[in-house]
Amino acid sequence: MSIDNQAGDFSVAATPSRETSSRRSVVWSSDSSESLSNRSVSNHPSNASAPRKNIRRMQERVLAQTRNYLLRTKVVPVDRIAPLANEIVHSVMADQPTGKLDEQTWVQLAIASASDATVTLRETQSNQHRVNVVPPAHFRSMRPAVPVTSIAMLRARWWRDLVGSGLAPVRRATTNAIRG
Amino acid sequence: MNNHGSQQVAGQRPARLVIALMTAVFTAAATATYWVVVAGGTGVNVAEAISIPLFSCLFAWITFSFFVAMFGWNSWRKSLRTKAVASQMPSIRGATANGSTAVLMPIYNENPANVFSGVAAMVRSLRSLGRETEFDFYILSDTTNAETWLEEEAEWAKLTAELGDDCRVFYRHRPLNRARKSGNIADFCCRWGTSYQYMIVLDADSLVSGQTMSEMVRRMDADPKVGILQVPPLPIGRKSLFARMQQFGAHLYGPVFCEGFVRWAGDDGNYWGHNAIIRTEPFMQHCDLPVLPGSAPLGGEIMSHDFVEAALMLRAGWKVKLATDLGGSFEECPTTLADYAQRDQRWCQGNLQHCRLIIAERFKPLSRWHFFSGVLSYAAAPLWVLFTVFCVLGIAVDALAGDTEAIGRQTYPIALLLFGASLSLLLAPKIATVLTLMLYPKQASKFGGRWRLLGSAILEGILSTVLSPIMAIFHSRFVLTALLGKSVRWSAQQRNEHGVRWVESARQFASMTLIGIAMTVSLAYTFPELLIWFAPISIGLLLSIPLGVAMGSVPLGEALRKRRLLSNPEEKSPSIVKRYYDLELATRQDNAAKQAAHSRFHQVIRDPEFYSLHASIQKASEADVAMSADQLAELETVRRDQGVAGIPEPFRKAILLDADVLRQLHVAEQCVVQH
Repeated sequence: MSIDNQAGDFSVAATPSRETSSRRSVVWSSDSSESLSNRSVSNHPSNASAPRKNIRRMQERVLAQTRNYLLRTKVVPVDRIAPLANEIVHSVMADQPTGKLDEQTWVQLAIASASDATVTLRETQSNQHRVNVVPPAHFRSMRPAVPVTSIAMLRARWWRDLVGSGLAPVRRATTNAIRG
Repeated sequence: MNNHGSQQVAGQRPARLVIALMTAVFTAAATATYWVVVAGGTGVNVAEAISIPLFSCLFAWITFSFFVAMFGWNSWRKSLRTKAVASQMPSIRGATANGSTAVLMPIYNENPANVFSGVAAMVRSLRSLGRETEFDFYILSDTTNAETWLEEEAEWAKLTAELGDDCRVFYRHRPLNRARKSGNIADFCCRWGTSYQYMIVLDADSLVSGQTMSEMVRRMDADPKVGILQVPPLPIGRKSLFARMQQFGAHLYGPVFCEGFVRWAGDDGNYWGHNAIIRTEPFMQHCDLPVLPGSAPLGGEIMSHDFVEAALMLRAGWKVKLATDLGGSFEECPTTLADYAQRDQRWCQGNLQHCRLIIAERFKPLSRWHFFSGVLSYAAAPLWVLFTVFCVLGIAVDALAGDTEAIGRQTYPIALLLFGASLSLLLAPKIATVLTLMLYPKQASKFGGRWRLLGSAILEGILSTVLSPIMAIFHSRFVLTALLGKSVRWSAQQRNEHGVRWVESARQFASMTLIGIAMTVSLAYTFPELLIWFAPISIGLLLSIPLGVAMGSVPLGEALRKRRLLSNPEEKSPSIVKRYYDLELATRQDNAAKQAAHSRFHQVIRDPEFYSLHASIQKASEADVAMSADQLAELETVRRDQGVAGIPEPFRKAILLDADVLRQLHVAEQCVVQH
């Protein structure tokens, strides 16, 4: 699933969670000297034959680090951290046969999912109603709020030559920007 | 209150007529007198002939200001009697629906501690009245500096946590700040405007008490034809000599000039861009701004949007009023001459753009007058300079023609009379205000007592006089650069007390000093008898460098404060909202000092808590802007070579706007931390 399509540290790594999202799936390596693709299945064949005991230990370490991350966000209630971390790690690992990726990549994927979860949680808890009072669909439907035609009334007629080309029918740059 | 309003309207038309008539009569008389003066000796030469219309125009301007001020003084004098027995603030009656008013604070690279202290103070002031649920606060950020932006988010999160669950303070960051402040407000209108009946527009340094905000809403409810209600803001809270001089002048003379403005303009008033309440629906309907043809500085986007919005509102049949009787509306002023001039340069360019709107269709005559007076408030300076030059040239031509007496012996007393008349027109409203206030000891005590009030007024008069030529040269330069097509960069205002070093002042005012020296030396060699006439101009210019240092000095301002000179009522007894502000600011500045050593950008990448805050705000704001492939490649190189710390400022903003890239950096950083 991991395909290196760029030189350097940017690589496309389609993960289960990202396949369903519209986000660009750019993954940046934590180690600037090594790209994420270098740790993909093709570059780490030794993981495929890792003993089951080692895999369980690795899972535990990924879980511990995910729990630690969630704790540091201070967004998730303490009693919800352990179940959420479990959920995230299982979800991340479930879609790929264990051992296909190395531990650091699992950690990276788990933390990426954890960060997404906390951002959504935080937005739902506190920011959503504060930042966007009107649902996006609503404000889109009312654009442009200011009628642009009214500005044409500002035209100066016989004085136009004196002041340049007069006032052309115009519209606010913001309106243009919103319309894209 | 309504009674007061109807009296204003009843007396408005005669007042307007009298002001216009008296201005015309006085100007005609003065112009005729000036003609007699210049015609003395060898008759009117070309230079003198040019100076006559210039004199006429400038004299009309000061005469108009004089009559407006004297009408204002008369109203203010009457209101003083009432104020002596009644509280300045009217009682609050009636209530509005929950959340029907939005309080907008557009910000652009401002100090977040100051901004959020102001918001916190206003919310607490409303809470003390039990009315905080009637107002939703919007911090509308156009900030471009990454650190400041993140600091704003941190401050917002802290404030919402402090204020609790019923906190109604919202934060929005605009990724592209199109059309500056007016674009920021327009963006609010497009997104949330229909949710609110009214919006109170503030500046980053505005402070409005809860009582005033409630009263503003009540007045809008009481008169459904009012589109904009402007509450004149008074400058407060600064300590430098220059700032204290402005604060004293604004508190003492401001109400008089504002009263005069109301007598002149009535319901066809003006909007000053902040500390005003606006009826949202007609604003959205009628106040879209035109983009002027041509390029900046005189074309393009309208910079001083406020006058135009007021004119558009009036054109649509709504009232624009000034609430001179409301207190509790404050702002901060620049602390040094250079900062003041920098702000003036932006305003100058903005006002000069209005000359193209004076003749636009369907505006009310008073709106055209507001545009014209806005232009003239800056154009007057170069006109004064031109007038002075042509006066001297006229005398020089006379001298060359054989008239050895530069100013004829017979016309000398007339010239003196004219000079005295001009000076009286400029000073009379101020003198009348001070003398009147001295008759009311209780009111005078707010300015340090009767004699200190007098001393402060004299000091303010002297300082204003010596600073006038400096400002005139500044304004002339601004007008000239604008006409030559040089556009002004609209940077964030310098609002803090940073003082002025001698080297800095020498750099800023060297040209002024040279002009002063050149003028004095050339007059001393050619017409020494004119030196005394030009003294008010030359002294200011010659002393501009030390004045620059002295005016920006906080110790000097503080020394005068200890002697209760240049005091103002807010300094003596701060209003509750100002006390809240000071408390909030002290706490925030403490925290800011602790935070100063740490980069917020590093924090957002390393700290999961802060990352989730920023990312959630971005997600809710729908403000995601993806970096280009070129940017990403360049960023990767920088990151590989120098690490996160080496990422330069323009990239930092781009990263903060791109949710995916930030997420990847954050996740990568977590893995480094955890391994």
